[in-house]
Amino acid sequence: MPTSSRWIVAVKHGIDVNLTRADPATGRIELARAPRKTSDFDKNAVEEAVRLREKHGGTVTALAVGPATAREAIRDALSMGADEGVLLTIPDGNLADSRATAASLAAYLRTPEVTFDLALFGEGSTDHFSQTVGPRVAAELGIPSLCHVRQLEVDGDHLRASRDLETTVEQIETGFPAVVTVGQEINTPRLPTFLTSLKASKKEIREIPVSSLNVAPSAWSRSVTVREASVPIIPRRKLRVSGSDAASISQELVSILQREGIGRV
Amino acid sequence: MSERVLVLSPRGGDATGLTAAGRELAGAAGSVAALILGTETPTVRPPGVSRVYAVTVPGFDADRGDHVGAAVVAAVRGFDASIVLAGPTKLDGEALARAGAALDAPTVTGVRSPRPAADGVEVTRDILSGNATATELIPGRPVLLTLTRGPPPSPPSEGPFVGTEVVPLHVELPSYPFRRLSVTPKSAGGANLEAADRIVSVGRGLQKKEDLSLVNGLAAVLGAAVGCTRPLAAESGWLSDDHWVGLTGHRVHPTLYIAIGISGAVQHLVGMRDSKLVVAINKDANAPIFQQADFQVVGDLYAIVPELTRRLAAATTASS
Ligand SMILES: Cc1cc2nc3c(=O)[nH]c(=O)nc-3n(C[C@H](O)[C@H](O)[C@H](O)COP(=O)(O)OP(=O)(O)OC[C@H]3O[C@@H](n4cnc5c(N)ncnc54)[C@H](O)[C@@H]3O)c2cc1C
Ligand SMILES: Nc1ncnc2c1ncn2[C@@H]1O[C@H](COP(=O)(O)O)[C@@H](O)[C@H]1O
Repeated sequence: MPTSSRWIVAVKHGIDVNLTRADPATGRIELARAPRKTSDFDKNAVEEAVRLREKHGGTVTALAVGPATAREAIRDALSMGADEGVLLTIPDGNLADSRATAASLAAYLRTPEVTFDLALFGEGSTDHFSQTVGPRVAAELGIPSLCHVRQLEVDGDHLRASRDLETTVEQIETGFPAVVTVGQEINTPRLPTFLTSLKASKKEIREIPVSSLNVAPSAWSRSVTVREASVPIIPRRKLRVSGSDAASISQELVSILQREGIGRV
Repeated sequence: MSERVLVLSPRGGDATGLTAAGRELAGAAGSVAALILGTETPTVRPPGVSRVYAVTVPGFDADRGDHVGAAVVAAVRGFDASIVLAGPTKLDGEALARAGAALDAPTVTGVRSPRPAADGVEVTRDILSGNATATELIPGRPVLLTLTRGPPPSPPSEGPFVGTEVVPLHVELPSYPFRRLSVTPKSAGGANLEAADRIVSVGRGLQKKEDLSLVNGLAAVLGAAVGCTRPLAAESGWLSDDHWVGLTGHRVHPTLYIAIGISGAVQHLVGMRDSKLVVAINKDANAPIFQQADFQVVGDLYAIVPELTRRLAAATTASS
């Protein structure tokens, strides 16, 4: 069995890409003010961690880097069954980039009090989608990274994973500790219930300032600046195709396509 | 600042798209080196490359992100590279992420048109799942970049490495256990969506795999390629990955895109937004896809698609 049965899951309180609105005049987005929510694939990572705990015992720790509001992402994980939360705090308004985030997470995981077997990540965050934080943490810690995992199995000292590459599916075996990144295909995240949310509200979220960890300030400050973010505006006609039934609607669509010069093949 | 660009040779041969981008970044004053993965003697000479690094360590595995990452670190140090450029594959992304950590340098993925700016390297990339486009500035050096999936690169120029120095690279490999138990090739449908002029695309509104025949029928009448959403390729596997449209799939730009039983998640929309004319067929009048469509068909695909196929076929016969 792995040594500590401690399952870490990294959760990001990222920008809610569905609620973000651009300035209608300029198309510009102000990222610092955008509404936030837990990144999608991170819920798959939490689900996988909770399943591992259910099968093999141990503790699931939800880990996030962010300002105080990032507690929300940890809260979501706790409602899904994670046991405890750790928030590595950074000053408000300081949006860490992937490098700074990975450096902070690695600095925490490297501290002597922390032992873990598996650190699970989303394979990409919904807002930034750099797909680098997981493998970057692994490299900082000198441990293997298994990315794009679709199936995971812990068997004694072995970790077996099937990962999805562009043209192949690979079955990999490695040891502990390791980093695993997952996408939406690996499982269906459970929905929190009233009861699990109530229980979660009583669980502890520890806050540790990143500045107190053994990491150089230059490592956790941004190295990439977003100069400008805007939503490309694509005008669409949004015309409802009329008709009383499938036949008449289809006939109308055929006429439309012909008018648009597409009827002929 | 004259840049020293290290290009990671794409797996499977062709390097031209990348080295061209590398040359542009380096400019006249800079220089470009290539890191060749794999043990076979390189036969393609990327034009404009002044030096080639080849890994000589036994046990080096070009299909491991950590091994490639270690090779990138060694090559960056050897060449004193200021910029590393790689393609959009998952393993190269992992490799550059790991190399970035070892070099304490930023890795920025999925970029378009990287360009030197007065105060750093400037890139364009999609953020917010493709909802927005950002201009990002990376001031330090080195920086590691992976390009976004683009149009297929032009054919490689053949020839030996004439006048190019091939430098053997010693790489420190990790020692933890890591074994590949099996490698299963995925089936490929041979769809070339980037080049398709018409695409009939289907999502989870389809109830079973057999019903793909409906979609294929419509595509056949229109002479269109078949596309799909992520779940149909990556989850149910009803279609191979080459049909997958979106942020993590293919970016398409046809004249006509018919979205059938697709809800219109941002991650799908980003792949199809360059379509000229969009038709959406969905039984939910409030489906977000309708906000991104020119023509909205509210209805059951099982009723609409066969009717549409039949009438299009009839119209075509009548007009020919
Ligand atoms: C980081 C990230 C990357 C992603 N990358 C991609 C990507 O590249 N491509 C992609 O597609 N997705 C991607 N996704 C997933 C995306 O968020 C959606 O989950 C996915 O696109 C939904 O697919 P769908 O529209 O087929 O299914 P659903 O959202 O389930 O929609 C099915 C639709 O079918 C309609 N329908 C049902 N029955 C019928 C019927 N009989 N007739 C007509 N209509 C019917 C429903 O009304 C519904 O609108 C990504 C997600 C994340 C977080
Ligand atoms: N601020 C953060 N806090 C905790 N985990 C994060 C954070 N940012 C990214 N991650 C993790 O890294 C994964 C990949 O993110 P990214 O590299 O931005 O695509 C996410 O799915 C999370 O699991």
